[in-house]
Amino acid sequence: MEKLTKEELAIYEWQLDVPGHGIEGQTKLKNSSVLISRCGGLGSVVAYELAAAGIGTLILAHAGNVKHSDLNRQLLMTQDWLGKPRIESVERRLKELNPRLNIISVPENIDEANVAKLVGMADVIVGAAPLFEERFLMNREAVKQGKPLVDCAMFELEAQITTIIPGETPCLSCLYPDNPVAWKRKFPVFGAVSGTIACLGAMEAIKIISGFGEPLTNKLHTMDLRSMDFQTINIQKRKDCKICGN
Amino acid sequence: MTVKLRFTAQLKDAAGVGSDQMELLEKEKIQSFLKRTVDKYGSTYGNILFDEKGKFRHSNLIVVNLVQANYDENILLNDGDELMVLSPVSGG
Repeated sequence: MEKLTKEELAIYEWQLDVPGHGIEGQTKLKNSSVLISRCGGLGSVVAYELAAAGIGTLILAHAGNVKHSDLNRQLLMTQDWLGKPRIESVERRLKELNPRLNIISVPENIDEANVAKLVGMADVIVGAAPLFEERFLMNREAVKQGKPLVDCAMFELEAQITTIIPGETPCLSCLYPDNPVAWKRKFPVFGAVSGTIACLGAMEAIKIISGFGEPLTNKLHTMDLRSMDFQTINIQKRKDCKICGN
Repeated sequence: MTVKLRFTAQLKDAAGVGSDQMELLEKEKIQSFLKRTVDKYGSTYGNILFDEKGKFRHSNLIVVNLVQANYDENILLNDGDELMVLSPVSGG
């Protein structure tokens, strides 16, 4: 395991004193890798916060080029990168913050062809994808490979998050055993909403890796930033789950 | 007797409200109660909750007093219970 350098001790000084984290936890972050599926409104802030916290390696998967409509929330995209590959902007912006960060950029979205390999490269996965198909793929592979998965999602001013530990908690298919019919791909969104849930997602990944605090295992946390309602729901495995059930 | 209701995302849009309350019948269980919510909130809401054959769509999460409930277990509801019905969300 690589030790922290003098520079890193100085940069992370203010988080080393977080009870339960310390140099040991920070060293774990440095030597860990996180896969983030898509770096849009949600994923870009997860990536940014993990880069700021000192994660060693980020594996980032996101296809497509920067569009105007990305810029209200996808904080790793910039005006001067319009029309150019998103993943390049992501890598550039993260390196500005943390040049020590090892980034494995994949200009593709998670699909059947790449999911096993990408999940295999990571210690923890953060799901920030807008499509159920991608989320179900990551869930299936996370369960198969025994990797923790922080699943984040949002809709308008609402958002939700849960942390899936294969074998211990419900998986995504326990929560959604049927394919959703009513879900809409495009919805109104402020960056502050995706940013809020993204920060929670980053913190979940940090807690899992460092080993302190209480991740949202067996819990689904929901929020509505219109009404400022926050709820934590106790969730359960399905015995007949087609992915993780007996 | 009443049950407090909460909806999220598309169910909230379809119902027209995020929270409400509805009368609970004597010894009423969750399946009967949810079917009656369709009478109150209409067919758009109903189509998210149930398929064309009237079968519950398990992509919706039912939560009673902040604990996930299984539609098929058809638990008894009590006066003052809070019932959340969450339609699935996916966006990033």
